[in-house]
Amino acid sequence: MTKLWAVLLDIGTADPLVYGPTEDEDTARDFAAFLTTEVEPARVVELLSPTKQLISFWKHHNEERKP
Amino acid sequence: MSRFTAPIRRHDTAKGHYYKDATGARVPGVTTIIDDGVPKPALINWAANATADYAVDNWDDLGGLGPAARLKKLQNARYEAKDTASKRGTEVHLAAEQLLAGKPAQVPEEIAGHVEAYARFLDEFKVEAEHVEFSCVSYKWGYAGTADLFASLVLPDKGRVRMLLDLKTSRSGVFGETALQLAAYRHADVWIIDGEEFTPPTADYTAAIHVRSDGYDLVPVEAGEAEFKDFLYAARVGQFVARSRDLVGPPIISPVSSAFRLIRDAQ
Repeated sequence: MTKLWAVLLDIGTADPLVYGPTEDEDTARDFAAFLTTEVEPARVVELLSPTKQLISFWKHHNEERKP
Repeated sequence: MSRFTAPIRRHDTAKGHYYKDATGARVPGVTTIIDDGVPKPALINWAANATADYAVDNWDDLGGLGPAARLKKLQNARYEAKDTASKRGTEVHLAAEQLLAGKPAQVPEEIAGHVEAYARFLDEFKVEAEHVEFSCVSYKWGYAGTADLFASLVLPDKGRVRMLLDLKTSRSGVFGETALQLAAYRHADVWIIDGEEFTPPTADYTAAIHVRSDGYDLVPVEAGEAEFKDFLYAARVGQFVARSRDLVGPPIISPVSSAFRLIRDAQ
C-alpha cells in the first residue's frame, strides 16, 4: 500500500484539475511548484486509501441523514 | 530472517487453538499479540461492571453463601460473562461458516438472531465467499492468525469488490484494534487454504461485520501499511512486557553493615 499523491490546479471552476496520481511525492511537489509559477496556484494532496475513502464517504453520508 | 521454520500450522484444541512451526515452536497469534501489546483501559470498567452486574443479579444466592465462597463467586464473575460472550462468538462463527458453505445451520435459540442477521448480510451485500476461516502466516515477522472471511461483495456505487472481513459479535461493537488484526492478516506472507500456502490476494477494502441479535453493520476499517506498522509495534511492546520483570534485579546486599542508628528524643 504505497502512498499516492495528486496535484490539484485551481482554475476558478468548482472542481480543480487533477494531475496524477503518482507514488513520487517529490515529483508531485516539483510539478505543483512549476504549475504555481507558470499557471495558477497548485497544491499536492495525499490520496486516501480505498477503505479510508469508504470511511469518509459513509461518515458524511450518515451525518447528513441525522435529523 | 524468520526465527520460525516452515510450515507454520494451526492446531485446534478443546479450549481454542494455537500455532506451531515445523520444530514445534509456538508461534505468537495475532489476537494474543494485540491483547498483550495494546492497552485496554475499557476492560477495567468492564470488569468492574461485570462483577457489579453479577452481584445484583445473584444477590439472594450470594447472601446464602459463606464469606469465602461469596468472595470467590464475585472474583470469578467476570470470567463467566467473558466465557458466555466467547461461546456466543464461537457459535456464531461456526454457523457463519455453515451458511457460507451453503449448508443449513442448526443453531441454539440464543444466537438465532445473530445468525439471521449474518444471513441477511450475505444476502443484502450479495457476498460470494472466496476463503472462509483461513490461517494467515508471516514467517518474516513471526506471527500467525485466523481470518474470518475473504469475499467479493457488492458495495453501493462501487459494484463488486474484494474485501477482507472480520466478524465481530460483541455487544460493544467494533474497536480500533480490529484495524491491527486485519492489517496483520492482510500483510501476512502466506494464507493457508486446505493445507496449501499461497500469496494473499489483493483486498480492495478491509472491514468488520458487527453481527448482533437485532441486526448487523458492515463497518469499513482501515488496515493499511500504517496500521501494520502499529501492529508490529504492539508486538514489540508485548515482548517488552513479557521480559520486563527480568530487567529488574533483586536488591543488592551491602558489603558492610552500618552501626548507624537514629536516636529519637524521648518526649
